[in-house]
Amino acid sequence: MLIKSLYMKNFRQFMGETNVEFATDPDNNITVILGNNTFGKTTLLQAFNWCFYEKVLFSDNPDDLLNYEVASKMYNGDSSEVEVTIILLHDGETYTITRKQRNTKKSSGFSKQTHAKISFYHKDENGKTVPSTITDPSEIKKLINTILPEDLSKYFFFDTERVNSISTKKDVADAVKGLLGLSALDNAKKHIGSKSNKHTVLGLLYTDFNPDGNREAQAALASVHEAHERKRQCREQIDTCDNEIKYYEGRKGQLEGFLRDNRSSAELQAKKQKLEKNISIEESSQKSIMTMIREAFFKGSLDYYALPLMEQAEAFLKAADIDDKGITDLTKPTLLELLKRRRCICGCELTEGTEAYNHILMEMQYVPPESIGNTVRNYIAEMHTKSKASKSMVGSINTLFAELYRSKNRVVEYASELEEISEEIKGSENVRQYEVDLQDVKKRLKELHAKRDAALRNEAAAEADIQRYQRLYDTLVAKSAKYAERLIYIRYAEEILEWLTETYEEKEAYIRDALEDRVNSIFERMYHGKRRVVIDKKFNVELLTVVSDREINTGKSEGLDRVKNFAFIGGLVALAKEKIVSKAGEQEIDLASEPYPLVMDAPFSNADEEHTGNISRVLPEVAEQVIMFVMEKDFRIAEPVMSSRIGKRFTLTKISETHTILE
Amino acid sequence: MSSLTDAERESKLNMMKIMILNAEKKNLNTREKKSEDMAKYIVQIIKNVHNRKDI
Repeated sequence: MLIKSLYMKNFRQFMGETNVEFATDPDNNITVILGNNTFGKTTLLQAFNWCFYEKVLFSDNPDDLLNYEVASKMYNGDSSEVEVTIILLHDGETYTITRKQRNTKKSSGFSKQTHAKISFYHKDENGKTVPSTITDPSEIKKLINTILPEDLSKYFFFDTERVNSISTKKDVADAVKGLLGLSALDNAKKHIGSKSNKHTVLGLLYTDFNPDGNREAQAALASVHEAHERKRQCREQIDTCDNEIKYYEGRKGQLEGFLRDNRSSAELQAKKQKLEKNISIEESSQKSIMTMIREAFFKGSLDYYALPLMEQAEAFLKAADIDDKGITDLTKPTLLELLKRRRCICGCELTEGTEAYNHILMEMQYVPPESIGNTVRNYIAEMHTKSKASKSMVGSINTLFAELYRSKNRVVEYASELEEISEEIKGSENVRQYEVDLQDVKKRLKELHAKRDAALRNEAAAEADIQRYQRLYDTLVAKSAKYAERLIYIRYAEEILEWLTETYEEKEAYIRDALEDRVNSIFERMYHGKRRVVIDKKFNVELLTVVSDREINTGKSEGLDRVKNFAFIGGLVALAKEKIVSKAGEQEIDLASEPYPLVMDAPFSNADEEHTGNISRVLPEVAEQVIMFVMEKDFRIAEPVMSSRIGKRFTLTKISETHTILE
Repeated sequence: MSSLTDAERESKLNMMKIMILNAEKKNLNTREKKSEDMAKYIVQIIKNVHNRKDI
């Protein structure tokens, strides 16, 4: 980047129009603008800042850019413009950057509207040079940052204060990395990132990444095969069931037909069974009757057989007239009770020795227990009882026998009928069995239909599984292919990250060493002593002194610091001019190769003559372009050293506190 | 894409490196893309270069 010109209109004390053409010749690359304090040197530096980045760093009224004299002559409603235009060369193109601020006077102050545009020529697709203009603020910002990133501008546009602290700022490492191309490597590393960060390349590639997709696909395929096998088995079961059903349906038809054809036989068969059952019942009944006869016989047989003897005994007793004179059922205790009471039931007094008393005593001879008559009479009564019982037993046995014979007659009838039926249904005795068989067949058919239905359901389930697992397989296979492709990208990204890391470390070490070399080279030309500049890993700059073969960090003066910092900037500018490349295979990638100008405000303030001379000699050699705003007293020291390289020279003339002209 | 030879893969890898670094350099200046957008862009570079037949 080289600055061709600066145009200002009413920018602070530069009232009216001011145009500065800078030296761009490589051999005469210095532009000197002379001016003493308060003449507007710092304003010139801020004109660059405002035009590029719309920022100024004035200590007094930084918001007031419009020249005070112009502003003071305006009435309410009047408008005036502040403008800064910079024309520069960058990457072979000429860019014209214009920033304007319209100031409109109002009773409350000024309203300000700022806008900018960039005009440039570039080559179109056919290689023809065509003009372009950008007015969109964000596009303008992007383009300016492409030409000179704002972060880096402070290393090329600086004032005395800045140069004093330039090598100790925290952002120096970032600036150096950005300037020399490491930031691109660093950012690329961060963007490739890691798989744990989803906002990085590896994080994105690993999102939903399943390297086991192929194995899962194979498992799904196995499930498809298994479901096919299940379906085949179900189909076999169904076919078997169908065959069996067909057989049993046929058998059922046969049996039903047979039973239909032999319905009468079946009825006779039923009748036959009923007769057989009746015979069985009769036979059982006969057994019971026989049991009852036996029991009756055992119970009364003795009396029965003794009955003739008892009849003879009774006849004998009747003939013997043994029957006494005793009163029936009158007993001796009853008579004793009457004697005890001393009165008969007829009312006679029973006194011992009386007739009545003696009669009672006589009666006592005929009453039980002593009375034989009573005994005989009781015996006869009992014989009568037994006789009756025996006759009853005989009656019962006779009745039972009668029933027994009736039963036997019935059995004979049943047997006869049974024989007739058996003769009639001879040859079709299995009809009943066929009915049983038919029931079995129906039961079997029911079971078979149930089994077939279950097999059909299982077959449908197997078919559903086949389709489900097939879809899963297809999806996984498709995904697996994507995973395989993703894995290729991941491998690329990982290799690129490895390359970036190695390249970064290599370039960082190289750049630090190279920068240290350049800075020391410049420092040695500016300072004649036994000191050396060391740049650490964070690009902090230290001065070491060699004492007895040892390097120690010794105290340093402000002047020495200034030299060190100029050497650092010089080294930075020198290195930025060099082509820093990184190799990707045989191809080279430019990391940094853009030359930058040095625009310095009062660079020699507080520097002694020797250092001023040295700085003046060295910086123009390392920088592509040097623009310095310098006081005449400092220039008198610098001029002999740099005069051969001065391409342009201007002088600031202060007309008033609010008006400076540049000639 | 069918499997690549080592040379073809190396060539693609180098092209990716160059394109990624150039994209980073450009974005460093323009700040056009945020980090996550750059990551997506780099993924796209990797995919495109891998699938290009002329490299």
